[in-house]
Amino acid sequence: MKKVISWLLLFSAVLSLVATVSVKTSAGEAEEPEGSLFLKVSSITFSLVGEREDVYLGLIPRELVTWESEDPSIVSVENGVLTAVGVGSTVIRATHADRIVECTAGCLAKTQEELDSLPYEVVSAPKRLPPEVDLEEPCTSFDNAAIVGDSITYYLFQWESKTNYLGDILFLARGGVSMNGFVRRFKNIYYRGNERYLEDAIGESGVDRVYFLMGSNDISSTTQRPYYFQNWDTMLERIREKNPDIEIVIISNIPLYDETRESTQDDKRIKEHNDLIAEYNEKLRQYAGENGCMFLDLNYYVQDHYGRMPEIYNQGSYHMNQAGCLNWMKILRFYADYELEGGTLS
Amino acid sequence: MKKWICLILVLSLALSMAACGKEKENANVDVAALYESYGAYLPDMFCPDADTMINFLGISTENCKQYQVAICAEGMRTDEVWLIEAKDQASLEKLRQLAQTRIEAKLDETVSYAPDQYAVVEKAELLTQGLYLALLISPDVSELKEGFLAAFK
Repeated sequence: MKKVISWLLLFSAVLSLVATVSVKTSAGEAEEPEGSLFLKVSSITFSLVGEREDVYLGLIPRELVTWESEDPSIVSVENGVLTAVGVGSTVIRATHADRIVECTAGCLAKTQEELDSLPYEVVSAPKRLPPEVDLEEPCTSFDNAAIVGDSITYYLFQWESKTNYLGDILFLARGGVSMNGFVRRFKNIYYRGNERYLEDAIGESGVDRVYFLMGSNDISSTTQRPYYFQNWDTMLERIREKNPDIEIVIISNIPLYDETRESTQDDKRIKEHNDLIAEYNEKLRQYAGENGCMFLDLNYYVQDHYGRMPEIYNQGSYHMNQAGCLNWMKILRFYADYELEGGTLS
Repeated sequence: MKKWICLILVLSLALSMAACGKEKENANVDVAALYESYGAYLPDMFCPDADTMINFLGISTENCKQYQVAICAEGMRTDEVWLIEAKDQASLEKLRQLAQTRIEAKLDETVSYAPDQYAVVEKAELLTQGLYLALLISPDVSELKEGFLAAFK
């Protein structure tokens, strides 16, 4: 009899557990998160074994996503964080319900010596590629947006004007401009045929969002560099005073390309410059967060295996060519889609 | 009598000159075809749409009877061509001022770090023929200028 009772108790316990699980599942289904899965990259190539990187952007909570590496002996994955384990290339897959997103992930070398001995074309290739975007699809995401910048942005203006991949975005770009020049009013923006103060041009244009890629001419100048963030303060104040509802997206600065292709004194100078850019980009990210701005990390996608601008994007060390600008347009459009689905730029 | 003959000669000369001038003003030049003829002298160019023309250059298409505006699409090269038939004299004057501002802006942009391009902008030609205006910025500016003037002969 005792045995029967024990069995009954055990059976009821199992039933209650099953019921509990199914209730939880039902509750889970009721709260099924919406939105796509977003990875930051379509491809990432680690330089050295041991490097790690979180490539998950959202929007499904990462613990609900199933992560899989086709070859964990090359790159392993845990909750969206990739780790380079061996040399080679594999595919990383994130799955949630019917949503699947993949990226390729690889690694070049086990040691620094191995990396240094690889052909220049390999180590000067982009470390990360943005997610694929069909640039031929008409774009309206930037119809009420402007992009402010110096000659780096002017190059984008040139390529965008040939393709219209950013739709009706407004370019407020002029070679040689700096935050210092805007603040001290000695170099402003040409808008509608006249040189205008930046905040006035933004106001007259009627845009509700402005992207800024500003810093190349400030950070590379030892006299202007110390005032870079102070100048940002002044410009944000002026812009917001005239355009209180404006959204501001700060884009990170991009590194220089090393035209020498060798380890020379010039190479050292470029490394120092690019380290400085990286340092200021981190400060910019923090500054954006503390000052009600969004942050878009273009620099993340414009690096080779030594932190330089990849060779295939280079035009004259500082600027990006057509391939680089196409890459930039993809990044802008990818993050616009990400925002549309509920993601935030930070 | 000699005085009368002289006067008649002067008058007829003046009239014929005026007629020549009139012919130039009434010239019917197809600016798109003229731009086409510049092909060999220009790098990869893009033609801004109406929004970009007004926002970036200040050119309102309302001031233009016909226009062909092209900007270099290749990095630091500063080549630029405006071939515009203005709607009227006032429009022409506005366009002339915009072209002048554009030259100054390009000089300012290139002076510090693109001396070769600065030299190109320095030689820019701003020409008018009747209601037609040409802004020509190119290393081959003399050929472009020659083409523009020839179109009115």
